[in-house]
Amino acid sequence: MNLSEAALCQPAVEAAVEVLDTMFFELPTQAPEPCEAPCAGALCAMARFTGTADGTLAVSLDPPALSRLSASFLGTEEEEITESLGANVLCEMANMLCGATLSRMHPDSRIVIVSPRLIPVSEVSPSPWLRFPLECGNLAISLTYRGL
Amino acid sequence: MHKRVLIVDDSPVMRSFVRRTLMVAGLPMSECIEAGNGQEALCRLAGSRVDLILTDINMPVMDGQGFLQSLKADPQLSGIPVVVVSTDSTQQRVGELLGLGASGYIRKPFPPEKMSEVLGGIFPDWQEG
Repeated sequence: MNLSEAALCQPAVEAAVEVLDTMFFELPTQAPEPCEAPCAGALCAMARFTGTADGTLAVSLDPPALSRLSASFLGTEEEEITESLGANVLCEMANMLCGATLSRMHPDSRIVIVSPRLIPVSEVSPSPWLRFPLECGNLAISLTYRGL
Repeated sequence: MHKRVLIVDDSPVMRSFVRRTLMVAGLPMSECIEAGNGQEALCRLAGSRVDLILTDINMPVMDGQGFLQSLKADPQLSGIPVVVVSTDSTQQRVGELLGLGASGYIRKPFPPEKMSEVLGGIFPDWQEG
């Protein structure tokens, strides 16, 4: 199953909006749209999960969006966001997006999220992405999933 | 009374976020120490007493559940209120951790108001600043 299917797409969209709004104080400027891959130059983190459902969630952010969201998350200025801080924030975002999506789909199950890591976009298995336009760039997520 | 707080999470940026949320919630803090996993947290506690612990679940070396079990098995530490802050919010998991003695559970993502609500239950004399 992937994001081309409504049963997975809807909870993923709800989770993304909740995470953006609650932890990053930002909302998409337009409705999300499917795309084949993140924009060139985007940074990507991937979380793997196992248990009742197995799969991966990848999240990518354009560099300007990563700086802005990282600064909001940490309560600091964009100029203070180092490469390392941005990478950590992106991994934490993947963790939260994964948890928020899966808890909507499996509220009563046991799923373990393995600590997310940065990966090249090219390493994400080919699957549809969902792009959320933000004020200063794009957030894109991709989810591949094998549930019961 | 100002509180001494221990934040346990393997993500340094999440520890920063939790610390900031405590400040936004208005909890008066005299000290805020951090640890990257349960084992490191137990080492920190050997050297300083705290009034509140906030811990993640999924961490390397010693996870939040193992950390909570260690705390509750130690008479010197068992009385410290522990709030679990995690993306893992399945009913089974929440029930397990509350059953082990956690004082509260906050599911990530969360707004600062949620932190205030949970802390208000733990420190009834504390008023949001």
